Amino acid sequence: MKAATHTEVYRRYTGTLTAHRLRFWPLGRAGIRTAAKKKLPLVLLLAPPAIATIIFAFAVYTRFALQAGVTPTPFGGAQTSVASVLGSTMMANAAQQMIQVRDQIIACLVSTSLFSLLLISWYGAGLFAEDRRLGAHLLYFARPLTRLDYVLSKLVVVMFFGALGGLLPGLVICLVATFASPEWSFFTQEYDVIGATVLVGVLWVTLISSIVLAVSSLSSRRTFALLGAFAYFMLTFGIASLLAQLQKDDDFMDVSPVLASVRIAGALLQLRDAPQSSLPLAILSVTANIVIAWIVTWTRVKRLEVVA
Amino acid sequence: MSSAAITIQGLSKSYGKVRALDELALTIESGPVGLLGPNGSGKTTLLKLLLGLLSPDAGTARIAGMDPFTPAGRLALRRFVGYMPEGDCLIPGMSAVELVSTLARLSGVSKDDAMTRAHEVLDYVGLDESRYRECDGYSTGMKQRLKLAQALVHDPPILLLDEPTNGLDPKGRRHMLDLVHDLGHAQSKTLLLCSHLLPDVERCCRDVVVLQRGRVVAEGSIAALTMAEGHRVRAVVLGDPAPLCASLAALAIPCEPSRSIGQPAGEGPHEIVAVLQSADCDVLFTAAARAGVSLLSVEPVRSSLEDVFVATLATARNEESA
Repeated sequence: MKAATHTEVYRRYTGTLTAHRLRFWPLGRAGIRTAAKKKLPLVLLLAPPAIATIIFAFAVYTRFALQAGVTPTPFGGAQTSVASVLGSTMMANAAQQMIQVRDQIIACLVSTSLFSLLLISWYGAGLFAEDRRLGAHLLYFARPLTRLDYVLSKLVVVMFFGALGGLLPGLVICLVATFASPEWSFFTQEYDVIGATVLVGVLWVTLISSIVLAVSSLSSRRTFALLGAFAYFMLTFGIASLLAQLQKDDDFMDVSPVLASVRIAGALLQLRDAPQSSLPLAILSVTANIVIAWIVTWTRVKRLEVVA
Repeated sequence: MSSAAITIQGLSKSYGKVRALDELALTIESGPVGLLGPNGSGKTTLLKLLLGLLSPDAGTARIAGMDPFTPAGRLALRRFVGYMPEGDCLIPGMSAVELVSTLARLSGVSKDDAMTRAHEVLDYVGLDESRYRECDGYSTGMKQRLKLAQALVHDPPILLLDEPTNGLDPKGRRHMLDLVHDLGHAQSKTLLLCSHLLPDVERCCRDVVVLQRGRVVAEGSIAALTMAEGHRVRAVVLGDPAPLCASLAALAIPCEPSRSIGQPAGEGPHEIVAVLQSADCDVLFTAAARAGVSLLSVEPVRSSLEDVFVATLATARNEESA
């Protein structure tokens, strides 16, 4: 039977409808694909972390190459050193002293943290806000999708972009260190640095993602969510710094979730000049921020799924 | 599925002080059904309640035998229902193919079938090469067709269509109505078409439910509702209709010459409208034989759905004020 105005017929679906085991995944993947379509913000936000990663990874590679007695080249090849054996050994010792992988990772994470925050905010701000504004949630919730699936699908998107800026650089440096070190000595002897790098990256991405998603769930437009997220980070940062200065007590630094997470990162990576605020307070601050952000998100999404 | 696709009992929903649905009781059989009502009568609220997108203040509902007000029932029934919302609600940055295939995956269509199925339904609704463009730049007609495609992608037996012809030009409207008619009749979908455009409902649906202020004020088949009181019939008479009218008047049957068809009076066929006492037209044929005129055709005179709608709402309003 044909509809009268055109030539196509309706075809029945002959397959069976089976729920995906990870029901959030198709929506999350589609979200990543759609967000990645706009190339300019992606390039602008990813280029600085990528450049920083390359620089610090090269420094780490240089350290191990000098240690092995070869002159490093920026293109990955290694040429036999023409330096004397004495000079070569001195350079290797100096490199070993001066270039610590741990320090390089910390320096890289510090330099990329702003961009990972920008990445998460840029790609996360519209996730709930735009769905609400356009009514797109009606299309999702008219299907067998639970509230948890919906939230997870948004989390996948924001964590993906967050991981590109906040986790991947550290992992790349660890990977370079592992393969450049003689007999994988970095992996076998300094594996705690790899674990700490992953933990710091996950903590940072989770914290910023949670806050951005919560602000997005409270906003009616992406722009408002973006402004709201930045306002929150800057306001808490400003208040924390001001209180710490006025009270001459570094513990107030933990009022800011960003500074609190830097404190935890310093402890995990055994940073020499780590912030002096209280570590338990920092953990409490970060945990409280994440928990409150998720309570807000969950409550708001509940209203999207079923309006009481 | 039982013949009653949707059963509603005592369903109430208020938004603050505004009562959108007021103890609504309704049974909707399989087939195309129009949900009529003026703006603010509770049509969209009813559709959202049926999908479990709103929670009711009171009452129960069953759609395809499932309860939309429990989490498990809600998830189960959404596999059997396709929903076309009224608003734009399309995701910016996505092309039509991406959107429909993603929503197919969410509905449970397998990964292998999702893209094929997306193309099938987009073909059906007539979204051609533009399906690869981002839907941000679509015209209203294309958006409406895309929304219908996403509702159909998992081939649900029940379709809830909220104002599908909203904002369409005459050509687009005709196309959309053709599709809806095809789905309701040839594809045997149970279809709840929510609209305030009466000709749309008249064209696509067999039954109608008329809502006003959250209550059902009329329901039934369009044929029954538009059947005029007193068995009015229109007959085409060959020759002068005056003797026939006189003959009918003698039988106490009101008759009035309607118009001459194409010829001067007395020469060509004429229309008359008579109000019979029963559905039996024998009396008309007997009178015509007695008057010596031939009847070319006899057909019942129906009210338009618009007449019924206006009359029903007026009656309901009068009853409320009384």
